[in-house]
Amino acid sequence: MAIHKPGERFRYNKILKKRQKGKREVTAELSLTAMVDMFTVLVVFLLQNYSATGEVIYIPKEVQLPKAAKIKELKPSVVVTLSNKEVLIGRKSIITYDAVKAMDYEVIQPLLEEVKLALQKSKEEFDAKLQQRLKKAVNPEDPVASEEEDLNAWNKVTVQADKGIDFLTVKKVMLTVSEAGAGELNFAVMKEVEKKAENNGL
Amino acid sequence: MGHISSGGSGRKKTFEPNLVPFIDLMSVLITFLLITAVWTQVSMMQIGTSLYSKKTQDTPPPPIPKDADVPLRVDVKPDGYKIILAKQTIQLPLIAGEFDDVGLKAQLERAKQLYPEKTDGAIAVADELPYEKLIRGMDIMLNAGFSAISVLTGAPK
Repeated sequence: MAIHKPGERFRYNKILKKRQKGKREVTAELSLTAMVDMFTVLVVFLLQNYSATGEVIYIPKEVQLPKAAKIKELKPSVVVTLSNKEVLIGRKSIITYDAVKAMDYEVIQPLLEEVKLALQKSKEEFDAKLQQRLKKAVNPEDPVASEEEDLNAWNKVTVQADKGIDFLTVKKVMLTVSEAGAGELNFAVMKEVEKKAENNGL
Repeated sequence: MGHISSGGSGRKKTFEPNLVPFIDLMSVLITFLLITAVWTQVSMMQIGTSLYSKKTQDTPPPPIPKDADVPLRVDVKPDGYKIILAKQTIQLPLIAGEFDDVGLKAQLERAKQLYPEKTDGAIAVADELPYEKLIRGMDIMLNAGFSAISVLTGAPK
C-alpha cells in the first residue's frame, strides 16, 4: 500500500480532479417522488375534512359543547353563550353565571335587553337584504330571484351552553330568549362520529 | 429534469415529467387548506315545536303532527329515564350509575314501530341534571325518528 503524506484528502478526488479539468459534470438530482406522495395524501385528507361553511360561532375556551349524532348544519343567528363563568351574546359578556344561578326561575333582565337589541339588529339586516333581493327580482334581466327565503330567519337564536351546566340555568336563559321575541331556538352541539355511536348501540 | 433523455447507446429512453409546477400547486393548496380549515365541527340541534317559541300573529301555527293525541314523553330524572307512551309507563333505572341509553333507544324504536307516523314527543329534565342529559335524550329521540321534540319547562313527574 502506498504511503501518503498526512493531511486532508478528498474521498472522490478522482471525480474532483476530472471536474476541475471540465471533462465531466456531476449532477445530483433530488428524488421528489416521496414528497409528491406525501403532498397528495395531505391534500386529499384536507379536502375530505374541509368544511365550506366555516366557523360561524365563537366558542369560548371554557365551554365544552355536548355531543350529538343527529344534527343539522349550523346557520348564522344570534348566539347566546352560557359558560360556567358568564353569559355572553356573541363575544359580549352580559352577566356572570353565579348571578344567574342565584336567581329564581325568572327572566334575566340584562340578557333580555341585549337579546332584544340583537334581534332588532338582525331584523334590520335581514330587511335590508330582502329589499336588495326585491330590487333584483324586479329587474327581469337578473335571474337570481327565484330562491326560497325563510321570512323568519332573523329571529333564530342559538344557545350554546357548557355540557356541565345545570338544566335550571339553561331553562332561565331559554325563557329569557323566548321572552325577547326569539322564534326558533337551537342548541349548539359538537358533531359525534357515527361509528362511535353505532358501537355504543346508538 | 423535465426532459426526455436518451441513454448513451440510444436504446433506453427515460421520461421524467416536470414536477415543479405540480409541487408548487400542492404547496399553495396545502397552505390554503391548512389556514382555512375548521377543526371544530359545531352543529345544531333544533327544538321541533318549542314550547318556548313565541307565537306571533303573522306566524302561522305549526301543523299538527300525526298521532299527536298519543302522548310520548321522556322524563330524565336523577334515578333514570321514564317513558310515558299512551297509557303505558316504562321505567329505565340507572345501570351502574349510568343512564340506560341503549334501553331508551330500544323503547323509542318500539314506540316508533307502534306509531310509525308519530313524529312528536316531549322531554322533561330535572333541574339539577346537567344540560348534557337534555341533549343526550333529544339525540336519542331524534335518532329513533321523533323529529318534533318539545322541551318541557316543568320538572319530570
